[in-house]
Amino acid sequence: MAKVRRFVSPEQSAYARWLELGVRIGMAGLLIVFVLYLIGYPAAHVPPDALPRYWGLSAARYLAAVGVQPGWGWLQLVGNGDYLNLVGISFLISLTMVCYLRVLPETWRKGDMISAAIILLQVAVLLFAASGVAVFGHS
Amino acid sequence: MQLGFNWLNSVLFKHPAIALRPEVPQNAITAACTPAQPGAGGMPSEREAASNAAARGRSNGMDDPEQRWPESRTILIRLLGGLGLLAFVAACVWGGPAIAAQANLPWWAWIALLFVFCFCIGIVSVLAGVGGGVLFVPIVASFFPFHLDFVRGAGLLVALATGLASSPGLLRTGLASFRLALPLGLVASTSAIFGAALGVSLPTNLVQIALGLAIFGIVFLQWRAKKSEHPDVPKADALSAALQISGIYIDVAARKKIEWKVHRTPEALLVFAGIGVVAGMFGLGAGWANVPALNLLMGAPLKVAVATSMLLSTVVGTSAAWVYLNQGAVLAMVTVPSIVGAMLGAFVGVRLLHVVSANVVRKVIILTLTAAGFRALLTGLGI
Repeated sequence: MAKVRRFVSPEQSAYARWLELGVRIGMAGLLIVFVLYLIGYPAAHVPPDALPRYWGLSAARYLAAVGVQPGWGWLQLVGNGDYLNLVGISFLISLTMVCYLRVLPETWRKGDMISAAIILLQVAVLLFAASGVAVFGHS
Repeated sequence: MQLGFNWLNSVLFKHPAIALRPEVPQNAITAACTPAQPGAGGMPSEREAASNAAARGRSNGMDDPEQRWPESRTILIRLLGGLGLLAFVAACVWGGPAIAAQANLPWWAWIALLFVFCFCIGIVSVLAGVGGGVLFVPIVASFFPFHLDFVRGAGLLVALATGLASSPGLLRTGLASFRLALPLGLVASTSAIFGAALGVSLPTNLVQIALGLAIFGIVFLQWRAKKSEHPDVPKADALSAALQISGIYIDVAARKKIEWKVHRTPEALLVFAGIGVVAGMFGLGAGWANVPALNLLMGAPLKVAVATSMLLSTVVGTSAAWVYLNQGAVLAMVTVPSIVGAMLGAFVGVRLLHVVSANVVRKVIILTLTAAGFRALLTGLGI
């Protein structure tokens, strides 16, 4: 393994380490929260047996029908089983950004300014995506 | 479920369809780059060689008589499989939405069916060497009562979760290249936001028509694209040299270090911009196009292309997934069973690699995707 490590940069190793840890925590958390949702604890905003009335609607109509704001509006409902699951999903989606931020200082210290700039741009792009600004309207 | 997710990486090493070598223990990788000293950590001793041969025999199921399948059983499986496939394709083209609309099932039955279905997709995607998202979206949209928005959101997250689970191991072995993924990921993830926002905003029938056409394009790519294990790259282009995109990995089977570099980086950036739009718009993930673009266009070795594709799919999937989440297109009840089912299916698929012909599965996938593409097109046209 040591010979293989010789060909892997410290940034790449650090990225892998953080990603692996994050995926383990995220997947375990997601499974636990989903099982709790299935057994009804905490109570869901939209109970599972009511879902068939809504899952054929478009996302925009679904949000309107169940009274949830688009964007980060679902955060107000994380006390409900169904929306608590979105915390686990968001955690998994955030991992890439966290790992990029993890390797940024090392890249910067090495004087690799081009890579550091790309990493910063990538984080900015992901933050923009997470902001909820990117939408052209609703179908 | 295995917490380390190393089984996902073993897919990449065992897969016959992508011409990768059989899985070799990690210590063998170390041994491969040390001087040849029989029995002393370099070339294997006779006992080690015999042990490795036995392991290979177990792995491909050819040498061990107990692992052989009786011919009659193989014919029966193929016959049943063929009939099942024909029925599936016919249902996909003509009856999918009608079945979904008329089946008056309780919610938990749909979710159980979705879990089983995703489990099968996980198996098949490993056997055929295609990403799960590309199978998930068109087929689930045809057979399940969920709106296309929720199907695309779940498809993206299935592709993302698979990439997240397999990337750490691939990065650690040096097969996935962080440097190669950096500029391509930036371009593809930016365009994926645009694609996702467009996909959520356009009328569903238009997206269905575009999805059908995109699926036909993917089928063509899967059918025609050849793969090259070590493409010839005479000279790195100026951009890739400036970005220091190059690397070394250990080819365990060939017992040598492979140094690689890439070319045509500017053209690849344009291609990845397009891949990002399609991946985000239809929730297909990016695995279906990453490998041909990295391998055939840029000249990355096949193993590096496959591994880096997994890493890239996490970056592309991340940006598009935020858009779907913010637009309310992620339903936990659809997404979580899909992710878990697909990952468990991939786990089983790895173990079936030695009894199923990857080439046959590949043809089945092409036929299934063609049918699903027709279904999406017909649904979009209101037929």
